[in-house]
Amino acid sequence: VSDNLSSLDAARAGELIRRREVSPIELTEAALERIAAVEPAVSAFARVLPEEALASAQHAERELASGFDRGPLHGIPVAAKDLFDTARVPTEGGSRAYLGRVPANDAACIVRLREAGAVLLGKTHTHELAYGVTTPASHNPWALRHVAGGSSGGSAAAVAAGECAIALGTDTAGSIRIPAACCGVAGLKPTYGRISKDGVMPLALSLDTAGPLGRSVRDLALSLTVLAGHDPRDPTSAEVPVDDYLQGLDGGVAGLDIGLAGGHFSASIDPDVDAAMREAAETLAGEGAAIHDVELPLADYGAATAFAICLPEAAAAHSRVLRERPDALGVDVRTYLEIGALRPPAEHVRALRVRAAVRRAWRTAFEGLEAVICPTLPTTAVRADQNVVSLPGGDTSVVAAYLALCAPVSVAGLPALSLPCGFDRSGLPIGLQLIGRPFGEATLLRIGQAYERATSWSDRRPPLL
Amino acid sequence: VSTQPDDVAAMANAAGLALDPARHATIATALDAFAPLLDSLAMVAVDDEPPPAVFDARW
Repeated sequence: VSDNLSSLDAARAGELIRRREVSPIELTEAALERIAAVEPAVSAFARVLPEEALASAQHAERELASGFDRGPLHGIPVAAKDLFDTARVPTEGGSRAYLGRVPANDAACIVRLREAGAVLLGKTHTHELAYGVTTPASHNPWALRHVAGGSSGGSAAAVAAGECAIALGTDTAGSIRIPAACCGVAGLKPTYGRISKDGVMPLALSLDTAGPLGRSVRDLALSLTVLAGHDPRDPTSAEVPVDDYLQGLDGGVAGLDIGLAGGHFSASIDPDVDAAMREAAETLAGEGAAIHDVELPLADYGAATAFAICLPEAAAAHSRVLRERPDALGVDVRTYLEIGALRPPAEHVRALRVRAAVRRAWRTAFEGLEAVICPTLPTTAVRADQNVVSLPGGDTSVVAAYLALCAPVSVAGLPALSLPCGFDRSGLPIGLQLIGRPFGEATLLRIGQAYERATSWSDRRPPLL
Repeated sequence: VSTQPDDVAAMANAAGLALDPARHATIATALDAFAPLLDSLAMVAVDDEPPPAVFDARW
């Protein structure tokens, strides 16, 4: 029974709660059992909070029994990347440099989830300081010797392995979408400023976003409904009205104009990924969308721009650690931070101007389009010991390959959804990326929902399930 | 011209960063590895793009 419960998405679990066919305590106990069963293999969690979770579940159960319903996430087990502050619970960002750091307050996203009645199961592994694309502490539930992707690798692995329905992640240059693609789950990087980052350990403040990962598009819509909105405590938070993400969710794609990104986004793609992408475009066309070939200019410079912005901003964000205990940092992250402190400041300003150029060019490219689709990654989850990936355009580092199609979207500040859209010949998930207009999350989710309904990719579960 | 450990020492000094001298060679190599990527941004025409206004003087 607990295996069945842990394979439910949040929307379905919420329905069962309201029909009194399952209780928040049963759901939470099932999730904790699942965690106990698969964590030795998957290692998605940095910290599990069983007592707190059961207490929250009991509270939710009492509230619901008394007729007080906080909404669709009431009583639903969730997890959060260990970058989100949790009051009186260590939040260490996956780094020995922050070992024993215990925040006094919850991050805004955690506050919102708690107010919605969600049950926090624990904190998931992140690539150290969210500064990387693999999350070495976690393993891919589809193939344990392969990476979960990063930096929100623990969150994606936890959702894929059925340890929780929804998990929070952060995305600076791909860190929600990369692990979502690697682990075969859905992940939403919102428009820059859409979700509060108050209480989230920063990497690059002018690129950082927070968002949900889940097993279905509807779960992302439910999550975004809870998480989106202006927060005066986050200086980067946007004062833009929040859409109703559920009302039009089942509206389909008939009559929508959707771009299929060429150029940079199709130039050096694994053949299995390329085939899945063409099939995804055909599926959307079959659902009534008009598919148009489109070029998103300057995308070749996306990774360079993201790095040029991220290097100094991360060095600034973690300058105290860099000064006082650099030996506690991992080798790669320490080097990134040191380089960031040494590169010329004019480079950062130039990168911000490049970003403005990208934004302007993409605004023109998006004219007449509701969204643009492309692969999330040019390949699938690499082996954990793999540093280089072979693509049609030549060998490239895993970091460069994983950032290639995600970083340009982050530089443009646009929302993007990653969804499962097939499997490669090794049985590893392939990710479809849907890029939206600024604050166009409702349309992205609607397109994603139509795609998900028309296919069965999101129904597949890793073999360990 | 590749970056030398002494160059890193000078850059760290200018940046006010107390770097362990044992790190200088590693960082020199990393700077050189990143240089082509970062230098590529010089190819993008940005003269028409003002730096984003990030300062709000309102009280």
